[in-house]
Amino acid sequence: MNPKSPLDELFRRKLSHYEVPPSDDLWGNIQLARAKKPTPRLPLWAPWLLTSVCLATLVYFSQDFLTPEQAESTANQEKPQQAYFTPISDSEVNIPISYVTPGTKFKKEAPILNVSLPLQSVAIIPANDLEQVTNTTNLTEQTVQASEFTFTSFPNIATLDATLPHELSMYSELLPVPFKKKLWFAKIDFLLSQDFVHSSLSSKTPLFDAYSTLRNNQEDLKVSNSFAIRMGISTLKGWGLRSGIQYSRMSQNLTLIIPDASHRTTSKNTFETIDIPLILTKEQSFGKLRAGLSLGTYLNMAFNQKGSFYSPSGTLIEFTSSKPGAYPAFKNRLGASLYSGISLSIPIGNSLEFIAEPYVRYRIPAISAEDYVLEQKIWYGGLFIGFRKQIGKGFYLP
Amino acid sequence: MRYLNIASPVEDNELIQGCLRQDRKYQEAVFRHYAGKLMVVSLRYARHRMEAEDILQDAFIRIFDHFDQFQGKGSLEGWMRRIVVNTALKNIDKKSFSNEIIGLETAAEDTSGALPSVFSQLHEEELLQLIQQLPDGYRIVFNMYAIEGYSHAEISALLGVQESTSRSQLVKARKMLQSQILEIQKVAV
Repeated sequence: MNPKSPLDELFRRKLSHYEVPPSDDLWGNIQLARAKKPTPRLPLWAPWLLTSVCLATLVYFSQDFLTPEQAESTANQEKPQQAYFTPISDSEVNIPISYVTPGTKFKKEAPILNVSLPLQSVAIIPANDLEQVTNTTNLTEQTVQASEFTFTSFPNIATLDATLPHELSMYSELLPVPFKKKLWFAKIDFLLSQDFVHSSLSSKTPLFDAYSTLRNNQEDLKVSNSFAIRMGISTLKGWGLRSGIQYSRMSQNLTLIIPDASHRTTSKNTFETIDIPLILTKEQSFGKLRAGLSLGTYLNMAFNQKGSFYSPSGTLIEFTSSKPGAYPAFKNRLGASLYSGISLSIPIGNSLEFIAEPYVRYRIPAISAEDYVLEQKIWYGGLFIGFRKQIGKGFYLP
Repeated sequence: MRYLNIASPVEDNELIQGCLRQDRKYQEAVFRHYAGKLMVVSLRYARHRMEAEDILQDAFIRIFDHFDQFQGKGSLEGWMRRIVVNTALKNIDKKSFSNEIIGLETAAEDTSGALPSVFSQLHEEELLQLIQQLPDGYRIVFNMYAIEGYSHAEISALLGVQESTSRSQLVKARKMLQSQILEIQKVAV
């Protein structure tokens, strides 16, 4: 309760039940003014939604998807997917390929040896040369030399075949494969996105319920544009970690319809954020298409605002963060947000991929200042489009 | 013309339902029932009667256009009163609050002193005139704080001004009102 002076109490007591009749024609004027209705307008975010749907459709149909029948046929042809030596004979040799090291001995009596390795690379190793298989360097060379052949059941021949990861398919030669170490790939992403930003305002006290409802109704969905550079490393199995920097610029068109519907006023506001993404990814190849799931967090480094909004009374309040004396309705730093996306990529050149990554992102803390009367939370939904460039041909972590 | 008469909460509820249906008969009943009280609210924020009527007209348009936003958590009158206040504040020039801060942020507020008896003898119309004679910034803050019951933090948020500005405007408004009332007393004596 506010501390009241006797003077305040006097005015409050005397005027709280006092009535003054308005002029007789006021009701007629209200009816006349209400008869004028604003013309409906297409939502400002509609063109962006349409653009994104078109882009998503384009990306979808640009892939070489297999029909279920084709997929089944392909699966039958490419059956061997094991990652271990499988002798056709009664021999008991069954050694995971990652454990093959120089000096490993095999039973010579094994006439045929199926070795599962990356698909598209079928190595043919005569049984007489089985001893050479015990040296992984030789194995690799054999694999490279024989990569164009697909024999699998010739007598006295050992074969190698398995799925070749997408990263490897970019090269005309296979990388050296000392399997006891994990091979990593370094990649850099250049991404642009068009996002829709959903904002929800809620009142901290019942006093501002009507105001929050009004703001929710008045303020259009914000549209954001982002640019991101992400560096990442990933394994042969498709696990990856990415980080970098992302700049986002949200724009807001705030429209206030003047109560008598005579005109509308629009305020164009901008909100800029700089974030550091930290994303864990898991990718899988489906023919040329490579799909992946990305999960992670965005750490906010800066949040700047420019513009104004309307107070409950309709007064224009400027909140530009760089302007001294502006109303501090927003925070300058936002903590973190949660990110999840589905990446789709196809190779378009030497070590270059085209990426489309639809995503959603939710800011955990409210973007409004602690002592502001409303709490404002936002989440993004958008589509990253860009390129992924692989740097070098892979490396081994020490 | 016969108007609907409303006196009880039950009838109030019937009015609300009617207004939600955009039934003009019920809208007019609401107007007839509450216009007098809301006119006083409007007069307190306006400088003169013509401006007050404009505010009241805008407020009723907003009320009927957005009646679905009334959630029934408080009284209908309270909700409408807030809309009138908000409508009155919408055209406030923020310059009304500038250049009024220097030297007054620390001014002590006298909230304990008893008022001379002449104060309570003033009529409602006189009090209303006194408020209307205050400069814009003083009048608005005094209305919001002293009569509507907003805190300085809320006034700050609503008007987009610093809290210290709101406090200084209130102190000045009270001093001016007291001096005006004392002037009236002198004239009366």
